[in-house]
Amino acid sequence: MTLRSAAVSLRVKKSELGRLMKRMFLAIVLATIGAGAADAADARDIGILRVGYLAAEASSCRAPDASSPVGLRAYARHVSGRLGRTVQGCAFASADAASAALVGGQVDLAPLGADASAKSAETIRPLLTPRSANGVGRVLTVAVTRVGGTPFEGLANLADARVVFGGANEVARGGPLRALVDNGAPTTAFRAETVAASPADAAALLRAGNADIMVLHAAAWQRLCRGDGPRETPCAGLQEVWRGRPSADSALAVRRDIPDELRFRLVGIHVALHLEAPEAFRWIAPGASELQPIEALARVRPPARP
Amino acid sequence: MGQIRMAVKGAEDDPTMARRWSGYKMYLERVTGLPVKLFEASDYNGVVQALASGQVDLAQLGAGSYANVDAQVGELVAPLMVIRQAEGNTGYYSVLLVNSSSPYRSLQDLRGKTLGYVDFNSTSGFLYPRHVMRQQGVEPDTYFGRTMMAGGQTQTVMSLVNGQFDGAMVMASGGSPEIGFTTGAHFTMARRGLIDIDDVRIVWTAGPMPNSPVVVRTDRNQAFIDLVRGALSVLPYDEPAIWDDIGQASGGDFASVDRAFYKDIIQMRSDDIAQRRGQPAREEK
Repeated sequence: MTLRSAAVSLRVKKSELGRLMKRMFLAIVLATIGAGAADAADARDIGILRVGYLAAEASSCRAPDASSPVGLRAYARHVSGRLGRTVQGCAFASADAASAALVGGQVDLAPLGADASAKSAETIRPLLTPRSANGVGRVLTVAVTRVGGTPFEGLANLADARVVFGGANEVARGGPLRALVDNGAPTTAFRAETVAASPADAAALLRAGNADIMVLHAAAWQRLCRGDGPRETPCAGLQEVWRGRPSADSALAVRRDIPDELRFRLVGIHVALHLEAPEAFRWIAPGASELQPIEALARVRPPARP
Repeated sequence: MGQIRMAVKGAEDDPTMARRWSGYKMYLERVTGLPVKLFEASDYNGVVQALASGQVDLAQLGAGSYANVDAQVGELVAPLMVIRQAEGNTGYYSVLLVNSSSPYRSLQDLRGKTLGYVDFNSTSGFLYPRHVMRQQGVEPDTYFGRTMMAGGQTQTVMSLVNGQFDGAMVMASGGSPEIGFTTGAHFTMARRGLIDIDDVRIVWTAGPMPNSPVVVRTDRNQAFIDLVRGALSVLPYDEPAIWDDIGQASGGDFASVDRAFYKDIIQMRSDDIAQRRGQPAREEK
């Protein structure tokens, strides 16, 4: 019995309504069960979790044995224990090959290739991405213009814009710049780029007409606009025109028709893997500090050209 | 598990908190299909006891309160995750506030004066600053003329502004001592028009200390624990509008933690109790 169906049956047992209300209630419950059944029919439940991973040579899915990498064995042991399902490892020579197998239903969790993240977004989605050891994740970034200022015509046109950032460090400039570029901004220099000492200084430059667009990390924009009193509107006259994150360097993906309960449990297990099963974590996310969730429509950045 | 029972500290004085818990409740009900029941406790200890007794499955509470639960039931309650800011930090600060019209400019100026704390179970408003004061050679139980518990962050600031305290120990976040703060009871009150932010001044800070954990009863089904951790973890990525709407900082997320993350706070609480009782300190596991 799933948590969802358990909840539905509990609701039925607890019903102490009158006959008419009871009929209406049961009708609603039955409709809910019906909808749930339809969802279940769409959703692929998984008896065995087939996990794709990258290796020098591809191999078919199989339960890890003594010849398997120690990390894979630790991973399968941990995840299998938590899910109550057998975990198999499936080796692929590239992330795009693993993604293709995911699209085809031959594996259930696999590295996401850059090509697949763009072309197969209707079938698969990224679920988890390694967080780098520098402590800063994929910085949620906003682009802001002055109301009545230079019209915003998309990130692709920023080559002609005077851009101001709200600081010089990784979260204020490095991450936001990657977010712009990964989402279509020109990789060449802007018409002019200013790095202000603070978000407030950046906003002042934008208001004064010394910049066309201000780029901040989203929390800085939120704090800037909060004000210190009930009647303060520090961001009046400014408008957010774009919001997004950088692409991921890599990700683990699942099929979109995976049941929600299993998807959440997979996330819950993997985000704590570095604490609960370090050996397994080092195998599946080498060099990372942890695995963290990622948006359903996030892209994976193509490997850098040599 | 037929339902999820969460304990929260009632905060009728802070509409942001009420909206936050209502938002979590609606979100968890929708994504898990389980009804979520909120147990509102009137003070920190209410949440501590609800968890320790097993009346609830999970809660969010301050690090000092978690240390209290840990002392009572040990591994039966475990921290799952904390809020992480966009900058990657998972901590916040204690600040010592005084009225701007007062002559006080430092901790030393408050010797013999009246100091307001939040609650015995408050990390930022009691436990942590007392530890740091001792590190700086100030014995908090004898240094001040009088110390009082106000019962909550908002009440502590209000009592300061009303002249009952000369100094008030409360929390601040969304920044650092170097660049200033943007979040805390005094900011929330100023935005609601209850005080003017210029009415108070920070004269001393301590921190950072670990953020408040979401904790869970570990005698619950492991599948349930993984489900809740997963569902909460994806919230800022899958539903960023809800994340912002319930008052969390844009670009922030949850970071998984374990008991080791709170080891210093657990030791700090043990030391503080031993000091107050005149007993020797003991090393916590």
